[in-house]
Amino acid sequence: MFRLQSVRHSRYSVDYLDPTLLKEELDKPLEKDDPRRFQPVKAAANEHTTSCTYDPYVAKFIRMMMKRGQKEIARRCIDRLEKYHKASTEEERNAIELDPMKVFHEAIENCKPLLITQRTRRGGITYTVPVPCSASYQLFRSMKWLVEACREKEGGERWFWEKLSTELLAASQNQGKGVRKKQELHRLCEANRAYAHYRW
Amino acid sequence: MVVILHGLGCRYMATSVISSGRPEDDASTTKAEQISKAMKAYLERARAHESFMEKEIHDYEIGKRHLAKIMGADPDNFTQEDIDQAIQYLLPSNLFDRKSRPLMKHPTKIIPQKIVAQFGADGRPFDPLFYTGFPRYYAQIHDLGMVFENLKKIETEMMVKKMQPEKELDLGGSHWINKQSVETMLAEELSPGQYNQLINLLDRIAEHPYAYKFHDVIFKFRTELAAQTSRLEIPELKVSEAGRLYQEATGGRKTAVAKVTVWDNGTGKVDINGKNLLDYFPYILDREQIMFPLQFTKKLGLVDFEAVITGGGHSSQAGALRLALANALRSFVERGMVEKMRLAGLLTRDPRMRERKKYGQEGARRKYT
Repeated sequence: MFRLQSVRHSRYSVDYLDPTLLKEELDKPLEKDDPRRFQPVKAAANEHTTSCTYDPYVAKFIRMMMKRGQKEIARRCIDRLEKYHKASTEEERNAIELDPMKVFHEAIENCKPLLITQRTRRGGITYTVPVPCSASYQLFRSMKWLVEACREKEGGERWFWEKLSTELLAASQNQGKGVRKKQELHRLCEANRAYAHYRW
Repeated sequence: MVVILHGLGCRYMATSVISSGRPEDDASTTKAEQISKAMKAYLERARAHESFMEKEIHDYEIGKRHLAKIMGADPDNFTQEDIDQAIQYLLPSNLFDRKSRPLMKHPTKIIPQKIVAQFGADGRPFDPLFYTGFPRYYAQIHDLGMVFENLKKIETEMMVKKMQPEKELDLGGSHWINKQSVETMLAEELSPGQYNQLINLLDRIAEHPYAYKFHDVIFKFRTELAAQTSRLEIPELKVSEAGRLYQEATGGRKTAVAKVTVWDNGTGKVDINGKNLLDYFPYILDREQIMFPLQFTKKLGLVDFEAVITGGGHSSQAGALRLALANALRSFVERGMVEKMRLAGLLTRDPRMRERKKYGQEGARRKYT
């Protein structure tokens, strides 16, 4: 009977629970048989706070933008972005949205696909089948498209954060590359609607 | 003639024979002839084990005396504790798993004592479930099956009387005992399937509306989960010579270690290795991390702290300081807040460390090619 130290898996044992970070959740009294009473809690991640500056979507977006673990650089991009938004929107007096966080959330929301395509083999022929998309994959896809759109090379040299700001602004108004990708995918799903029954 | 047998695993071996004579002694009698071939083989195995154990114990006693001589101690008064110390001194081992380190113990302690099976004069076991190989386990399953039958009977009776169960069985704060505990309870080695069978049966009993009537039976198989809150011991605030309240604490993350002194009635003054917060942690991510416990306990700008941090990089140093601050701030806030801090993951030491590089690979995970 050997107790081997797992190398590829979590350092936490299975008993450990994820930390609770939402203020409303924390203020609620614990129920009598709540597992949090009896089980230990994992340490909060380094970007976690309960302050007003913390937003789980922004934290996820930064993680997706990050290259080679350079979280600080990715973060600075986002910080600059917020400043950039404020400047550009002040110039346009008729701008509807002034809050960069709202712009960001709207952009994410607008890029979320409703349907995605999956490939299935039936009788030697591969069909492209449209299937509904789960909430977590919607979030992932929309963020990925936004990041990919900003990574694309353009004619003139532009900083990533410059491209990101224009991309987010465009996406919040249902324009831009990310939204176009979503629309293309929806069109593909629409074209293959005849195969929808292959889902089962 | 009664033979007391001790089992090892699911096989049974004799450690002592209490009888007027051994089986071969009365080989001429008719009763002995009734013993089946399997039984004979079984008794032979038992006797072989007995002689094996005798030899092992003899070797152990001699080895103990030798060890005592090597250590220059009195061989007659050489205890197990002395043996452990001697082994540790003579054969030092840094192996991670304690079980793989050298040890010397009495053979009866290494080879586990198992249940005693009793046989009658005709060589037949008393226990009707003996030949299942797991007599105690199946007896337990049978008993629990009867409990379930009783529960069904009670339920029907109550339905006829049109009565409802008085209360619910409260299973909160406890869980089923693990396989090892069941095995020690029954003194039999079980397969995972057998353990699952037992737990499934117990689950069905516990879900029954009248399960509270068999509270004791069910709770024989449950252990209390220790409440996490009561484990936390919060140290009292200290008073400095100048009469100011303070608390000291340490924290760690990866290889970084932070020692912090938090002063009450402060104005938010910060001293980290002789620098202020902004100079020592230029990255906002790190500063936010450090402010998390202060902001969480609403002590931001109300306390001063001095910290000495060693090892690690900037992020792990901030993580170490966060844990140290959270530990120190426990003394400044009330009990409910400490529990909230625990739930937010502020009081847990992050056990994640740098993953080692593997041979044949470029790093921990990345491969060449």
